[in-house]
Amino acid sequence: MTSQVSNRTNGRDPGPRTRVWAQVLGGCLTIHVEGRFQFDCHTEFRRAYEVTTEKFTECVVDLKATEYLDSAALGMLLVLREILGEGKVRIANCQPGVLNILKIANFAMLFAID
Amino acid sequence: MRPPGPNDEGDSWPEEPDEAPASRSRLKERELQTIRAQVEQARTILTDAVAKLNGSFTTMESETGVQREIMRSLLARLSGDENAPRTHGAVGEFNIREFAGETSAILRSFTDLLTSVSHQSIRTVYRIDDMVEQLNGVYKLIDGINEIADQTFILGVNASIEAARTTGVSQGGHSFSVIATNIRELSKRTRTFNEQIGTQVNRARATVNEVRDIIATMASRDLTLSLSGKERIEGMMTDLVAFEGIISGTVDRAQLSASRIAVATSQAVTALQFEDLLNQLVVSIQQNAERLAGAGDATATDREARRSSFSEPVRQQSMTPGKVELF
Repeated sequence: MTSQVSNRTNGRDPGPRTRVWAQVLGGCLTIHVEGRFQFDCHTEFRRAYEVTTEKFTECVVDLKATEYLDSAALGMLLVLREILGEGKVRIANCQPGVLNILKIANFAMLFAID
Repeated sequence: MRPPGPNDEGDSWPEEPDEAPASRSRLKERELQTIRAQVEQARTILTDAVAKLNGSFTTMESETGVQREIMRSLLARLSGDENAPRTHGAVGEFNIREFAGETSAILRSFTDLLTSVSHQSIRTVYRIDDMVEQLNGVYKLIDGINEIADQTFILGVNASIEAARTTGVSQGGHSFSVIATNIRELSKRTRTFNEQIGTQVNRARATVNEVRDIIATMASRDLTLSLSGKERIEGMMTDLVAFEGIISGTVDRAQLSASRIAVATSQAVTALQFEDLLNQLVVSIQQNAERLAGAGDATATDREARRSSFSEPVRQQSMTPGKVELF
């Protein structure tokens, strides 16, 4: 399954468009966030793991194409971890800047990051 | 007063000239007085100088002790020794390691707070999204009620038409017309009531959206500045702890140097005992001169004997002091 949604700017700084899409492969849900991972894509990010009908036991958030994240992104990741359970969410393919923010925010203690 | 000059004749005893004994004796007495005065002056100069040197060296010694104590307590405080003597005031209470530790804890709690606020904000926003969804559900229900009201209205209109047709045919036609009118009225009231509910729900939705925007502003923080600030401060703390090591090393070396100064000073104080030795030598010179003055008529043999009996009060040839351990 691949769900895809465009971001809503909600009247605030639109910035470059963010694209969030997800797919389930072999029981693993992978959520891709392309562009700016920030508040405006919170609905899309939530839908990515709530709407899917296929079953999955683990989740990977692929940040390969993520160029920026704000505090709301941290909040979204924490909510995802809260819903799916500890040790179920892995953050993958971080760019150096994104990885630095995650490390400073002590996310390495909450998520497997690679 | 004549300055003391070297004894040109050295060890050799001068041949006595053939002069009158009285004038020779006066000459000797004059020379002797000069020697006495010069010896006295030398002793005074020596005693004064030695007293001042002694005072200076003693002060140096005690001051190096104070220095070493200051450095010792500084070292102890730097290394976080709780038993270290503390001076009053903020600087006295300062400990770099403690400070770095506390700062790091504060930064950690700051980061935790930041992520916790983000977490709760997003949770709240999701709940608000759910609430908006539910309000949309209420709208759908209102639409459903409106439909019913419309159908009721049509029913009322149809009933009126039926009532008009039967009016005159039967007595019941008029009553039926009144009921049909009431049905129409009721459906109108339902519609009005529904519109009011719709307005109210709309207001609620606007308010909820406002709340969502407020929370969105709170949740959407650019982390680059705050988190990199945290990183910078942590780097500074690491540097500060390293700097503490440099200070410790420097203070260590200064303390060693102060110890060496203390040893050197105490050796100098010991060396100042040369005053006693010199005093004895000078007194002996004076005595020898007195004896020389009283040796006018002696024979050469007697003189030789007397010469060998001249006292040698100080045998020490150098002032090399023994090892002195003051601390």
